[in-house]
Amino acid sequence: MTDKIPSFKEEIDNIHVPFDKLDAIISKTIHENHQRGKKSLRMKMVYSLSSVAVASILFVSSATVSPAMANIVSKIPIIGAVFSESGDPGLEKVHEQGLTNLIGDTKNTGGTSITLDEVFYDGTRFTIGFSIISENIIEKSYLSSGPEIKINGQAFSNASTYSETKISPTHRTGIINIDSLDDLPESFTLGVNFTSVDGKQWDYSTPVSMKTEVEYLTINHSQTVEDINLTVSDLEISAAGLRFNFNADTEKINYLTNGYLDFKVIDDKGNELISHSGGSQIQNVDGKEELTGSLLIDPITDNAKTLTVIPYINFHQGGTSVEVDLKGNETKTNIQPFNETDIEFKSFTVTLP
Amino acid sequence: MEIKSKLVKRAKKGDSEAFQMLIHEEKEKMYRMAYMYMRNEDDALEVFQESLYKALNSINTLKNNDYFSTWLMRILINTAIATLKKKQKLVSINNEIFDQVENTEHLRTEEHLDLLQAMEEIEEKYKTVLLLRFYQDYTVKQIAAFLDCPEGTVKTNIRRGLDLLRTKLKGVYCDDRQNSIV
Repeated sequence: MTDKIPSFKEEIDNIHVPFDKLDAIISKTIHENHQRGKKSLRMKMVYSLSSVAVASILFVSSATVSPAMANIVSKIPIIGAVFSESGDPGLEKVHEQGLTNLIGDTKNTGGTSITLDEVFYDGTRFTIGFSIISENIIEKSYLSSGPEIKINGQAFSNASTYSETKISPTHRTGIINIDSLDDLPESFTLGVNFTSVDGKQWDYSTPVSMKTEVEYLTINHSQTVEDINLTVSDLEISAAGLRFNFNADTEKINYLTNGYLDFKVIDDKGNELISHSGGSQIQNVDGKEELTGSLLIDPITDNAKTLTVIPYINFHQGGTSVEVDLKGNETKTNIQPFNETDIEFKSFTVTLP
Repeated sequence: MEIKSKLVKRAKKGDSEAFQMLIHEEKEKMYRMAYMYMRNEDDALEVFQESLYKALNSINTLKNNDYFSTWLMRILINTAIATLKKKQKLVSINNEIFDQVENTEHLRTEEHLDLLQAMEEIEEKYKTVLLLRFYQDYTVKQIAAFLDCPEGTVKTNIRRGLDLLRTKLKGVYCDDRQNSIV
């Protein structure tokens, strides 16, 4: 080491650091992310508390957007741009392969246009994309907690998760993931209603048909860790992604309800396939907690032949639970952190067809 | 390290307070690294903010909690490079600007002017390895892992970077550093 190298460091260390600005950025970024996270947490808590309602475990997608995308989308409302620019490999793939329903239905209310852009529906995934353009600045909570969904004219209460991406101050895109596909017919009329915080409404109705390019693979892998019996029963493979179906049970009451079960999935090329959403229901039966659920992850790439799957359970760190009754009334409850060590199951391998 | 690892674990579960503590520990170095690429406060703050945002949204993908600092620095450097490209400000500074900078930097010490300016002029790939080696104190092996390239490439780029610096600085710094590549 020479005396010149410390000098190199010293010179960089002499660069003035605006600590007040850095601290402001840190606080603002974390606060805004925390606000977004509340929406996600809310869905998780429904999942963990309700014994009958189906809920979601969804990682709300990042609201960052590439400048290239901002340039493209802000100029003209390209139909299908929401999925193709979403950064979600499954949505990008089904868009490219023409497996989506391109809608492009634009309605203007009071100077704000919402375009129902594109819908994808198959056995593994049901996702709706839309964009909103206004003459005025669009606040991030402008559409409140997201749209109401109807199937064949009937209110649809299955859990869904909603995320927005800011393209510009007057342009946003949004994605709605329906996390539980139970009880959905193969084709139906989808109704979507947006209501803004200032009471404006946008209504859409469009036919949607189920895509049939889904392959089913039986897995039937079982294991027991920390008195939790886990069985991964099968895998649904489609262009939109892979959906694992599984069930778990334990005699440890409040154990499954206080954690969320997720899978880490790595293909034989070393690519990690990211999980996007899932739904589970938990019931207490004969002194046992019984969970059944499914989890959607990114589609396979690079002609992967095998997947290594590592299931794990993360226990929640506290927060607010929301129970929703059949009339849509919400009851909020503060939840204390569940002080148990997270659980990792043994990995297993799935050979793809 | 153990405390930091626990903080990372908490942050991965969504504990924003833990994430904030981790960032406060790294913020100074993050900003200075961003500044070395961007060379002005506004752009460095932009890179800092975007890196923070990316880190916050992807921390659950961090595989080894002990590598938080390295992982964060990789995000920052990638963000800085992407931002530079976006702003078309890659360090191919032309002579006219060089002259202007030289004429207006009279408040700096001669050495300070030389080094920071020379760093501004060299290509990003050389700048990155020099910063990692001599500012972040990474070993060649660590830089190779960080950049996902062979150690030989790292050594070559460090030597070439030093050569470029030497040329620009007329031998002020670099001869001694050649010995500390590995």
